[in-house]
Amino acid sequence: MSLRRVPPGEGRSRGHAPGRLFESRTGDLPVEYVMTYRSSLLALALVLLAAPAGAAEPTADEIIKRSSENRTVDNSVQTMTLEIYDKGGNSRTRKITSRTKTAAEDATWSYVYFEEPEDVRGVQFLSLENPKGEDDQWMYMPAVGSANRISGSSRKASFVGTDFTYEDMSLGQVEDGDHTMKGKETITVGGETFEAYVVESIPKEELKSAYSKLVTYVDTKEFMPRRVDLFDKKGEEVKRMTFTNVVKDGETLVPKLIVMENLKKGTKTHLIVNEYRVNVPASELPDTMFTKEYIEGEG
Amino acid sequence: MTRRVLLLALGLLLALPSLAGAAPPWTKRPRPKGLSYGGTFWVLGAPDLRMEGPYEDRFQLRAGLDARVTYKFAPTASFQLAAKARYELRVGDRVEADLLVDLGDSWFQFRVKKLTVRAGRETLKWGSNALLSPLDRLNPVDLTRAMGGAGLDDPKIPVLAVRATLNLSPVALEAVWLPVFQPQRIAFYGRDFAVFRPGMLEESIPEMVPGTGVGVADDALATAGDRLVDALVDLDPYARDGLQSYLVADLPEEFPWHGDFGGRVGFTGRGVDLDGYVLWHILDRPEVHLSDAIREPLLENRLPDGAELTQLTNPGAELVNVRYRRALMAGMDATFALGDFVISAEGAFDSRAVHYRKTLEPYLSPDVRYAVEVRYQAGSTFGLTLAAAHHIILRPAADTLMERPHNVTVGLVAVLRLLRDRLQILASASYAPMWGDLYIHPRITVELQDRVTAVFGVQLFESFRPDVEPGLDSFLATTGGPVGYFRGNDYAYGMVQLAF
Repeated sequence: MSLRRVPPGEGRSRGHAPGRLFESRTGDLPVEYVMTYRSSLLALALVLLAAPAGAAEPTADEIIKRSSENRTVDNSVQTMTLEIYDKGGNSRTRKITSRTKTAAEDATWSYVYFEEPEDVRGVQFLSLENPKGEDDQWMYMPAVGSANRISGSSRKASFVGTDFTYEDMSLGQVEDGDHTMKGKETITVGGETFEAYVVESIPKEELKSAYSKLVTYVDTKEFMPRRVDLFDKKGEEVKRMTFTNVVKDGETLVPKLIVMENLKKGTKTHLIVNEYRVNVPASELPDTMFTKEYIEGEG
Repeated sequence: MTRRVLLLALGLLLALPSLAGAAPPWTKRPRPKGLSYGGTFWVLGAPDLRMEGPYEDRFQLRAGLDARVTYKFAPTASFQLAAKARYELRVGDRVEADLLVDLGDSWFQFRVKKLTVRAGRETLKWGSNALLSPLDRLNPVDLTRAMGGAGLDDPKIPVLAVRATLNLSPVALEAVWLPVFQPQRIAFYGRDFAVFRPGMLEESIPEMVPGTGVGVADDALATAGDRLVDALVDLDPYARDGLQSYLVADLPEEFPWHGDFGGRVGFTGRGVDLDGYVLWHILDRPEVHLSDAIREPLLENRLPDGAELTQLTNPGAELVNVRYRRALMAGMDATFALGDFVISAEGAFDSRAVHYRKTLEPYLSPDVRYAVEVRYQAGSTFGLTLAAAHHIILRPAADTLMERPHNVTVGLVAVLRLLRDRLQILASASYAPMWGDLYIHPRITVELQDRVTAVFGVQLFESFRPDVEPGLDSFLATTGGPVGYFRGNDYAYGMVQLAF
């Protein structure tokens, strides 16, 4: 999951999600539990930086661009909790620690460690973005004892059984779709009321998106997306993502709670950012940490 | 002690319903920074699905407890202590119970710049294949679990080891030293997945008791034979399964030089991983030379004759000679991604390996093993691994016991996850066409709560093993491989697992 600061105007598309191959402890033979995943969860968590609104109304592209430009920062370390709720309100919890680093050629390196629960503890995922081709990805499974290379997989697939898909992790890039301003609207999210730009985005064909349309509600003051409605290929709204508990850290706005609701299934997932540090010194994230050998040593 | 474990298992099972719907009490707990601990507890019941004889286990109850404490006292240094306990109750014509308590992976690790060193009791993995891996041989295996463990227990036995890795990305150098030789754990008799099938002792020993023609004397001898069987079967289970430890008599060298030494050079490039391996090691399988005075009567299923008896009773005669040999293994693996597929290949050459003839005499041959694996994954919903392996005995004997000059095995694992990963349907299988060995293992895993899982499965073993009485004859007449040897040991199982 990337959390990368890029120069203004240099927002760029993200490649395919890294994946994971995960063996259940209860397996005699490796149980393939594969999850791909694009960029970092924090890319989802730190979705947009605020930027002062100009005198003139910005265009749809500018709104998306401003958000996109500021949603990643250099080197970061964060711990997060995923609360996965079923239709009946019963929940399951996953805790992870994510580290990201901006490497040479402006590539994003991501390293995720599953902390809890015990039966997935020690599962690790490493993704090295390759600007010139397929990303390199490995998954370490304690039951196997080594890091196995994995391939990119379906962007439409669920991320560890949550309501997020890998595609959801990389939404909001200006070059990923055609954006149209639909006006302004007052919305209420998490008990707070905002005036928001309403931007409709049609994903580009080549992305083979699961969605026909996204409608993003961007806070007019902070340029922070507060709500995203996601529509399936039939044009029906299937999911809704909201961003709450936003805190300001320097120039960065951090939504500490992201909720993804599946409107069709009646399920939802809370992504809670417990702790985060951005612009971590490079010495804390040495290149050797983002290697197959390192994650095998941590297993 | 065993009763206490059983009561604890039952108590936890009974408590489960009351925990449903309430926040588990173990979910919230303060932990000192750097300290983590946890574990799993499981209880399993396994009825036999295909009874072939009166001596087989009809039902097994197993319980397991794994616990670990990990303390990271610095960003570059950590310590782990792990332990496991296993209880097994086997119910058949006899009721037997085993309790095993052992250390798990317990080690100390530190990093100095690009060097990482881990020392302690470790489970190590070499090779990139997940399913059929010719290179993955650093740890001895608990063979009682490898076949009949219901797939729920890692059959690898942690070994005392020091591993040092120098990470010079994209190249890595690794050295491994296993200072103490540890043999595989084998059950020789008295259980379903033992070398000698259930009933072999009971059937064979009374047959070897001579008849005198005098009723009273014959009765006494028969009683003595039965008592001998009972005495052997009633041996302490640990000793019965640990017999191989007594065979570790003649290691090639003395400590600390009788261990295994290995090295690996790894390269990680864009889209590809390559590794080269060398291992100078003691073979797991010993050469066991039986005196002719034992071997020939065994093969001919008769009592020793006069000359043989003389030899057997000669105090200076060497009746059994056990020898562990060294061998050099060299191998490599390569892995690369191709779209949604990952292709992985491994190969290993052994300078020598021990095989046996049907005359129960050992012989040595260099061996080659290689395997190819293809993995496909569609998100977290579906995963498929297909693998094929080929084992070649380069200088085979014509009458090799339970092995062939060429043996091919194909295997697969398919996983389907539904209901937001709460339901996992898994099918694994392997087939050795030259043997006719077929192994099938479907399994369903249901996550009942965040930390409570139920597992149901069936293990099926099939082959062309002739249906003969469970004596030495059936052992020697087996035309299938190891899976087929256990044909008839099919069983189902249900398990509840708690993570804490």
